[in-house]
Amino acid sequence: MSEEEKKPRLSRTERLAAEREKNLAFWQAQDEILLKHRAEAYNIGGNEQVARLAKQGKKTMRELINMLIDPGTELYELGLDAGYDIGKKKLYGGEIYESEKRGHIPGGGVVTGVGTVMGRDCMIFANENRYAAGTYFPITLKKHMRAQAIAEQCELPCIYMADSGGINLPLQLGCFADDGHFGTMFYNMCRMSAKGIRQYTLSTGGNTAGGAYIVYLASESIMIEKMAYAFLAGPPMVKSAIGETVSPEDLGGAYVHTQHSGGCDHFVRSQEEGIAKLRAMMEFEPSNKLCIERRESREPKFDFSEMMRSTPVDTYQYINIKDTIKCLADDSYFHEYKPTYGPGRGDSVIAGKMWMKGIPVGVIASNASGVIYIDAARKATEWMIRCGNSKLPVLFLQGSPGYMVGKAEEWGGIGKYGSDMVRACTCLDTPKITYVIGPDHGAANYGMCGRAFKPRFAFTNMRGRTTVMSGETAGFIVETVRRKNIIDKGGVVNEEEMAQFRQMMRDRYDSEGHPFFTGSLLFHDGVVAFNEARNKIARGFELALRVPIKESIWGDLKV
Amino acid sequence: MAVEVVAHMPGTIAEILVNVGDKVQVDDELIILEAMKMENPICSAAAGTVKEIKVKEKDKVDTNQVLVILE
Repeated sequence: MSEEEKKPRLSRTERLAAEREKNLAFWQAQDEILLKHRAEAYNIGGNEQVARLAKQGKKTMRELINMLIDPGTELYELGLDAGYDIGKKKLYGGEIYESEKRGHIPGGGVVTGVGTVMGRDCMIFANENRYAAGTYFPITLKKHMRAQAIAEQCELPCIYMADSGGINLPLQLGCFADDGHFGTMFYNMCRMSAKGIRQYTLSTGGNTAGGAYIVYLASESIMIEKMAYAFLAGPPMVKSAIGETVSPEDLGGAYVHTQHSGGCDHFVRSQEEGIAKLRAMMEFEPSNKLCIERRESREPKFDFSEMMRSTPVDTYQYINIKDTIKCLADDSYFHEYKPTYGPGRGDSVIAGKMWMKGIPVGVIASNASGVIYIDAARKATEWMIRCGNSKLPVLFLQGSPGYMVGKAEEWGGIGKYGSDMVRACTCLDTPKITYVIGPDHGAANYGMCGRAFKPRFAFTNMRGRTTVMSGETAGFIVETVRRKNIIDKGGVVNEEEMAQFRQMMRDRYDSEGHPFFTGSLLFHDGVVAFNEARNKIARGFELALRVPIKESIWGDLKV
Repeated sequence: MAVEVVAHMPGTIAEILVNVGDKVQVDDELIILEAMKMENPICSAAAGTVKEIKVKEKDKVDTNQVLVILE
């Protein structure tokens, strides 16, 4: 570039100021894309499926959910991004999804989320009967198990709105026999009811074979006349097995199970009546607890648009995370731990606490480049221990590409201090929520409470990118290995092929790390837009605090 | 008095944002250092004039290596 062509140089402050409006416009557009993405799951099957259900006297599950939850409340939906282009993911049976022409299941085949019914929070499961007769795919089961795990952790009663053809037979391999497959659904129902977490089922369609257990295993269940059926084998199988001819209603209809078999407890004549019954049962549930001292909620002084303005378009550019924190915190008030420690190295993780809607919350947040140095790792570990000891829930704002590499850091013990951070994050037994807001790679995913570290909820925004490393680095490493192999074997490196390969790796990682890609596979519980972040996180903590906070036991830290 | 601006981590020079003779303020971005997958801005710690630029784009640098001298 010649001297004349060089852009006029701006100071850092000027450059950041100039970028603010560009950032805002970019994130607004990204969140628009997110809303369009969600609409696909909301309207799966289109008018055709709505009409098909109407012919059977059925409303869509989303309509039923809206009737079930209290007026003026919203479903706290989880895993909505599941199943999109699942056949192209080549994971959990991608090829079979494709060959069965079931390669794209927006929403993953089941609606899950927390709703408030008669003032009581409960986990709602509803088979998406507008797609493949509500059958279970491997991704459907993964989503189901995730919601059951959250319900168990937060001790939320469960409501199953069942209308499913059972396991999707061509995909049985990924559905039937393993831990986490179909049987686990029932195992979880039994275990939860043994812990006093009630399980309620409204059957509003077919529940065949194993699926019938969702009716029988419930604490109390409801079936709808001439709409709900439950049997171990349907009429065609009965005919072939023992030669008996019988109608579905007489084999396993609502009257059969409520008058004769006793497998079901309540007989109703319509979906509306079924919903009313569910609401009546929920009224007997104990009211919501909150196991922490909560004060009055105060709005932040900065709203979400300030968060959008201060978030760089590029995932790999510096972010001043305190600009995000001030948009999440009550009164925009943040109490920072060790704010002066290790300038340039200690502040790539910011630690502290704040209130969110009156709930005190600890914070571990990636800052600037997010690269975790020894100083930052030590500070984060110290703070997690303090949060655990004072029984404070913790929010992780993850935007770290990894721990610092190189001889100096290795000799100084970055591995050791990083592992301490991972251990502290693991053993921190207070409710944790992770919100990915930037790069999410390598061991930083572990130390910053990635999915494997079981945060109560794991969310991302549209800027998050979750892969083992960046595409750039992965391309470089694999290329180096390949080059060495070729040369060792006496071959000649084809530079053109190598360049293509490098580009392929870069593209692949870029696409695999995208929130829609990771969401499709349920590596997180949902993509959260900027304007939803405060509500979503605060509500998540509220739900996680329905149970008393446990003592954290730290294990063999190295320190 | 000359002030040396150094790299605070090893990496590659991605972009040089100043020319010799430029006047700079505290916190002005002088160089973008690419390291750990991130673009790290190297900022001026003092106000002054750029006397010398010791690196060029794509150069690999070490921690504490002098990148720019200010006067």
